[in-house]
Amino acid sequence: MDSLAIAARDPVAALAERGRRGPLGIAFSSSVPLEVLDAFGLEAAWLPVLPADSTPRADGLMQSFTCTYTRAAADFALAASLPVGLVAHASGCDAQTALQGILLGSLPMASLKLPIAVAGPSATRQARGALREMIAAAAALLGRDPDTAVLSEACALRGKVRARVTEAFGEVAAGRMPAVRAYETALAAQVLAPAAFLDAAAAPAPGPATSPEGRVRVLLSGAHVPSVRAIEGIESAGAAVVLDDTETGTRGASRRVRADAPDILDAIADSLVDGMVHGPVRVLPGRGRIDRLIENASDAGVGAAVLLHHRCCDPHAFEAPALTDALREAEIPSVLIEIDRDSSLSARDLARVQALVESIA
Amino acid sequence: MSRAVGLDIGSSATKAVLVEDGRPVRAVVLASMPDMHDAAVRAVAEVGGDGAPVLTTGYGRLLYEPRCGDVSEITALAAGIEAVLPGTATVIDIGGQDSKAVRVRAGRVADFAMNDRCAAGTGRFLEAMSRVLNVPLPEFDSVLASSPAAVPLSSTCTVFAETEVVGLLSRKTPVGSVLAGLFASVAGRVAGLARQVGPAAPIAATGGTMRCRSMVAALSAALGAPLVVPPDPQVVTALGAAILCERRSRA
Amino acid sequence: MGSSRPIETTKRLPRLIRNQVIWSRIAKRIGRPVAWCTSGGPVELLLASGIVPFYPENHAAICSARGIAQGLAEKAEEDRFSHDLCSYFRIDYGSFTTGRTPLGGVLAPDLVLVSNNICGTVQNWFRVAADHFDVPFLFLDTPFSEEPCTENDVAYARDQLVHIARESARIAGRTFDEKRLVPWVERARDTVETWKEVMKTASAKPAPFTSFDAFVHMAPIVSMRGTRRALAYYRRLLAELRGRAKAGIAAVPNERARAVWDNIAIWPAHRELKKTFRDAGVALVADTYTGAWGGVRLDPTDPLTGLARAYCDVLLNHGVKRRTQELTGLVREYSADGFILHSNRSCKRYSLGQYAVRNTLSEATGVPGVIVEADMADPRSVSIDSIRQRLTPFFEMIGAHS
Ligand code: SF4
Ligand code: SF4
Repeated sequence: MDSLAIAARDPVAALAERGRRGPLGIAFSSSVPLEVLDAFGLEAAWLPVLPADSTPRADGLMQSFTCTYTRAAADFALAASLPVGLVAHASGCDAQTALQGILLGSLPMASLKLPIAVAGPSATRQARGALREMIAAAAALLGRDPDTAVLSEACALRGKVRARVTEAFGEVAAGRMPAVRAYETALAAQVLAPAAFLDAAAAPAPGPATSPEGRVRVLLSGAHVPSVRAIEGIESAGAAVVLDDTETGTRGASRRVRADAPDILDAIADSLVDGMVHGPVRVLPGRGRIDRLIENASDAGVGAAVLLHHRCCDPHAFEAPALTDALREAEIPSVLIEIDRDSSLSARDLARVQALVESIA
Repeated sequence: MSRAVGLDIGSSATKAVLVEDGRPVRAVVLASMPDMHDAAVRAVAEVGGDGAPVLTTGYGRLLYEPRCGDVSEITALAAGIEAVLPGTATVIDIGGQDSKAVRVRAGRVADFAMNDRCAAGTGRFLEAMSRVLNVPLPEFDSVLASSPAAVPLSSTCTVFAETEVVGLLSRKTPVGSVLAGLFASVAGRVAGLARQVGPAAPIAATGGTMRCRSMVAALSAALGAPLVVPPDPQVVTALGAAILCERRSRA
Repeated sequence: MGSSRPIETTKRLPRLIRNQVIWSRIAKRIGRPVAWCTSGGPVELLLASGIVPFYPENHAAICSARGIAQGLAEKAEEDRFSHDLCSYFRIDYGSFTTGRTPLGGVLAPDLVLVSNNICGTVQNWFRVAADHFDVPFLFLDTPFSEEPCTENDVAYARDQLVHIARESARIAGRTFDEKRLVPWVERARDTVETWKEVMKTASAKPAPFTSFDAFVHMAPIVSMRGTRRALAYYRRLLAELRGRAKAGIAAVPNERARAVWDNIAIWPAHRELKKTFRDAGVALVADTYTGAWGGVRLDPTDPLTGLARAYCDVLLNHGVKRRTQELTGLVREYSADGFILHSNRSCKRYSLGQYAVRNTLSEATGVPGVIVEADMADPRSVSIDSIRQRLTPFFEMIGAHS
């Protein structure tokens, strides 16, 4: 295993390693621009779903109807073993909003009030104002301002990280990279320092690209991919993931910051509104998201879809029936898997994927 | 003569069926616990399948070696029901851990739905209630026959239902009425699942729970449609695996 | 200690609501557009343009109180909506897709108006409805925050209000006129103030009015805010309650203890719970749910900015910190001996964080609290027996007993 695979499979160890270099800046959402945390001199990372087979600290603070991501995030943030300098959080689903209050008393926390209606009137202005408010709150907590020279450098570096992740999924679609490797890349990008990630990702991928030949080509849609093992599970049931629609994968990496903008903060704020592919948490006009997904799925020659949701994740659960229907109309059968407090697929979930594959093969 | 074994390693029972030239000759049902692997080995031996290819299915389908392959229990169920009740369009199975509804077209899966993690609407729910009521599962039918009026139970969550049942009994509600309420609750849940796939007639019902006539009646009432139960409802999935196995080894 | 004959004004409530329903139907028939609106939506903008509002949340609560919630929710689950989604949504979905409703027919919308100031559920729920009826979707995005909202947030909300006002007026075939807003805003403010006074009567000992009453009497403040009839109703109710307070007429005979409630009522068990409290001599003197309406403050001199601020400022648009403050205030103001947090599995916005609230609140007030697990509307997630199991020891702790 190379360093990407190692970091992807043991994100806590990767974060611990970063923590030895300095206080961590932890983002709870792909909508928190990590470059800003970098500019504060924090070891910035976007928290992946952590193995949360037991989350005692969070269990004392959250009911059973909390998604695994939120539970794991709270538990991680409350664990005393790592030096957390700042927790940053962005507006989103009701679980994310709750995290704010739950952690407020125990951790330095800054929140980014991005618009939910990304195409609405004044969304961009709200984002610009909110980003400055978040920076001010973080500066007050940390007792220092972000370094502007570092900010533009970090902005470029983080842009390269996201471009590399996007590229990896492009290679998967073209059959040049196994899906597992692309998810390793994406998960590693969340926790590694940008320079270290780019070094590791520049090396050729270890092992041959297994072709999806003979397996059913699937679209994977959902929020946070809980682990590389989840992908391995899906593929062990006879599927080959060729198209991604997850926060962990292509959505989280989709943000593009305009390089020629006169004001870098404005450019970053704008990228969070109309410079990225949004998931179901944000309000977009009409059925834009689903239509685009179906189009991509047809282009990629997808034969089936796996909806990998976290239990009690409202935004994705609301979308599921319409998405399933649209897929069915496009003759793409799908199966919905709900992850709850574990990071790989249960035997019965595997049976569902397998049944889907068998019904096509 | 071609022989093949279908082995369904479930969470509570392990089932094996031996087929010869497409016809079932023997079926065995064993408790899976405490050692699933051991139960699987014994089931194959007892069904007389030594030397025949084995296709596995069910929760523990990857536990058994040597096997000629494995299929999901959904695919196996569709193949099995086509063998025992040809022309079935929908099959509903209430198993120990989960329940499922499968739309079948010529023995193949057209669509399916499975319950979520919650135990409501599964055999596990009935087992839990059997403990609370202190009535063993096989006696359900006779207890019910004595007091037919059901009391409606609102809770479907096992924990809540347990308190509700205890509350009802403490208020001297007849056990039979509570039981009828429980059946109605499970049936309602499973019927909802079936509606997800748009159940078309003829509808078959399988799984160990279907040996209980009251369960079949409750489910039929909840669906508002007649149900056909094959003679040995518990082994249909294993039979399907056996048939698929024979087909595969012939190919 | 006075007798506990029922509150007189209550008798007028069914007719008030029925008339409202009938009036809505007539209005729809004579060509007035109907808007489905969230409970935290800027309804004044609709009213000023002659649009008839209808409240699906309210409707779902009625379905639940009338005992038809389960079948409707199951319809949503059959259509593959997760059982873990808000039951108000599932019930309403079941109703508008099947036409089953206790109100004698679905009042189809010509537009929907949503604000996410109460939760993230409604933006999805109303989108599903807008798609089903193929009508426009108007959205007021109010940035959630633990801290008070900032000028940036208010300006953002105001921009959207302008857009909503124009769009809804256009749909109604009118042009938006800010001046027409003023009387509606004024009456809404007066109604809210009167409602606050109504709730305050419960601070008398013994309390002449409890949250169980408030849960029922809040219907007009949600669905008829800004109308003359609602204002008249609350004035009458207030007069009666003040009289009862003076005469010492208790809502709970032999009031032995007082408690505060957090979260939405538990409709499927409303009656049983009311009786459980009564039997134990516990008066539920205040709650954060019906009080949420008491918090809205509108400013008629600058209606749109005032509305923007008010709608950003609703309780559920702020988190744990604000709720703890609010509850602390209620415990003190109403001299409560304890508090009950309804952990409502339907409402994540309202419920996640309650464990943290309990700890801080107990510390801040020095009174005990209990969490009960239930659901506001889905009877399958409500067990009156298990609620009683939690309440009994709690009642004993605060000096009451059953
Ligand atoms: S979007 Fe879904 S998975 Fe992500 S934090 Fe929110 S509820 Fe959890
Ligand atoms: S989630 Fe809560 S606030 Fe939102 S509609 Fe449901 S009950 Fe109301």
